Amino acid sequence: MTDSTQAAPVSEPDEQPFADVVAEIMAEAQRRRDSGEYPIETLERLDAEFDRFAPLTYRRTGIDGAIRAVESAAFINIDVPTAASRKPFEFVKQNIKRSTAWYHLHVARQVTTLGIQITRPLRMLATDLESLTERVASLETQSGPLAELRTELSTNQLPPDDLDAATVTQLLGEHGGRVLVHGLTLDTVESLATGGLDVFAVARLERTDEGGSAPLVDVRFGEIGAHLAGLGEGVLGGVVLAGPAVNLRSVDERLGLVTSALNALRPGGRLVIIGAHASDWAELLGEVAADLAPGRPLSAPTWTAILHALGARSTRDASDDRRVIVVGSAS
Amino acid sequence: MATVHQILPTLSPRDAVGNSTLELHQLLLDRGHDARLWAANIHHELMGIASPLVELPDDDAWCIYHHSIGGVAGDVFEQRSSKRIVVYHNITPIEMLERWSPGVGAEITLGRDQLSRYAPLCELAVCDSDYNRAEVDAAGYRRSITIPVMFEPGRLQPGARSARRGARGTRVLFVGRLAPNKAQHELVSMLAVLRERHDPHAELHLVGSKTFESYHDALVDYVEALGLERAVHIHDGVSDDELAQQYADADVFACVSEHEGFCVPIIEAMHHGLPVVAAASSAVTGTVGHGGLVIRDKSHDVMAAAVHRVAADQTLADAMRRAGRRQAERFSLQRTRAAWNQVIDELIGVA
Repeated sequence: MTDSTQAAPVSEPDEQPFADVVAEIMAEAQRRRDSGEYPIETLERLDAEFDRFAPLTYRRTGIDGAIRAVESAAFINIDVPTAASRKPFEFVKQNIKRSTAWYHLHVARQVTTLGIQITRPLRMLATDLESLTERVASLETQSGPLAELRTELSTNQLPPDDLDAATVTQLLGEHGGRVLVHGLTLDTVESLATGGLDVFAVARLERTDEGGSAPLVDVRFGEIGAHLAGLGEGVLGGVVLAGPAVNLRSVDERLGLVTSALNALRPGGRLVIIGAHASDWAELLGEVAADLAPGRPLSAPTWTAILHALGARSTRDASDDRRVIVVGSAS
Repeated sequence: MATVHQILPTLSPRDAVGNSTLELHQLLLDRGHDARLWAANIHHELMGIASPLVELPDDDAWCIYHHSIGGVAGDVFEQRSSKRIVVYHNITPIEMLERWSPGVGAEITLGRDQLSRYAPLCELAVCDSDYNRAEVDAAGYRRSITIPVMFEPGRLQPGARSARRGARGTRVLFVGRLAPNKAQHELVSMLAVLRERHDPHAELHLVGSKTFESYHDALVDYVEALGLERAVHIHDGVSDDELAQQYADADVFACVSEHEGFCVPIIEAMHHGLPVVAAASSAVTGTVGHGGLVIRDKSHDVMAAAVHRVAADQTLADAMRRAGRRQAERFSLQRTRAAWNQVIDELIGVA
């Protein structure tokens, strides 16, 4: 027995003996779709119908998606199925359906209206909650000794987690689409753009002290968490996170960042996380600053576990002596 | 003669992992080893065969652990200092289940974490399929091997086609726990298209136990919403004889599972001469192999067209039956026992 031993032949079939039949079936289905006999919308309606009975998934859809699901469930479909195993029963069902349609429509309208009236205040509450969350986050960063420490750590004491553009490009792979970068130097981001990546940066502060020239890449100034959370599903080809966002934030904040990043990635798109080694932390900052910091670096196995737990399809540990580097692919 | 402990979280009869464990237990006994079974949960029918995990002695005997989702049995396995083999039966991805059972996420995460932690501890990882093996290799195991689940398809006596079987339409069968990753709801969608476009009297028979209450309820509600109560039949808790009868009465076995670590019922269906139509996914593709139709587009209309084609074309169905039986033979108990014999003789030794 060797490392590559396979005891029984179980492998991806190289050539299907029924390949011709499968091709004919696919062609037949496509022909029916093209002719309008079975439009793709009808298939999607079946999936939507099942989703009405599935549990809400707040983590995946957010409050907005959960409210939309309630609205969808409140829609009453009065197109009652009339199929029956015997023709006479089918005839009876059709007649009942026809003769009671006015009544069902009347009731359905009221139920749908009730659903809308229920979800309207929920939407208002969601908006207020979002606003409150932003204000609390803002207060956390603007006041207290931890805020000062965080600012000091992020601007003065932390060595850069920067990587050269070629390595970042290699880690991102070739998946196409826009790449969001946070925490790398603007020079690196510009090198990525020069190298052919469709890249943009999200930065907390504007660059005003590096020669005064405008950056050569698209830079959005704002908070990375809020920016990622505001992106739609599957709109990015890659995300690179480095710097204080990776090393200094609380675990919950970092979980939120990764969740939003994976959600914003198209399937197969990669999230590259670049952080410091936890073992270097006290040495880098001094023991007091390291102890009082809002967060501390996570190890590569921890990032890997987080990525898996949050739904990454696969992960890779590319850490070196200087930094922790973990890559996750979105599913 | 060596002492060999097999450990698993739950030992149940009529369950792929349970059956495979019992077959391996018998094989070890046949090879002259002192084979012992330990489980955290033991089905009452198997009380005399297995012992409670808490009574596992702290010795240096070989230890074989059947790993799926995380649990205390894995911790016991990890803490042992003896030589170890992990048998990996796969872990369903968290995103397929958390919507239906939020608590299951922790067990899945723990299971994946444990799989990685065992890598440096084990002499070998034995996987049910190449699909499982790819995960094990990625987790860093030194040695891995694919040996399909040990089971005897012939344990089910082929039934004669039921005299009650007077249905005019195609009878589609799927066997497996009612679970989101097995996507029985997509089979219902497929049936809706099949009845509307091809075969108004087609029926779907789902054989499997209820493991996710919320999924079962949603499935039943969905069936009712589509007006298919008389066309979709859910059979829970069937005996071996009843299962054999289901295989005998069906026209097509259809599988649209999103995730399977092996899928024993596919091979059982082939063994019983039932044409298999399956959507390509996870280990399903390898299990069906050349023995059935593997469809890469699992859209409801494509799957419905495939099922209808097989049901309507007897020449094709006969060819698929022959191919299926050949494929089932590749997973015969004789072959899997031979593969395990090789592993046991090399690693544990000849008694």
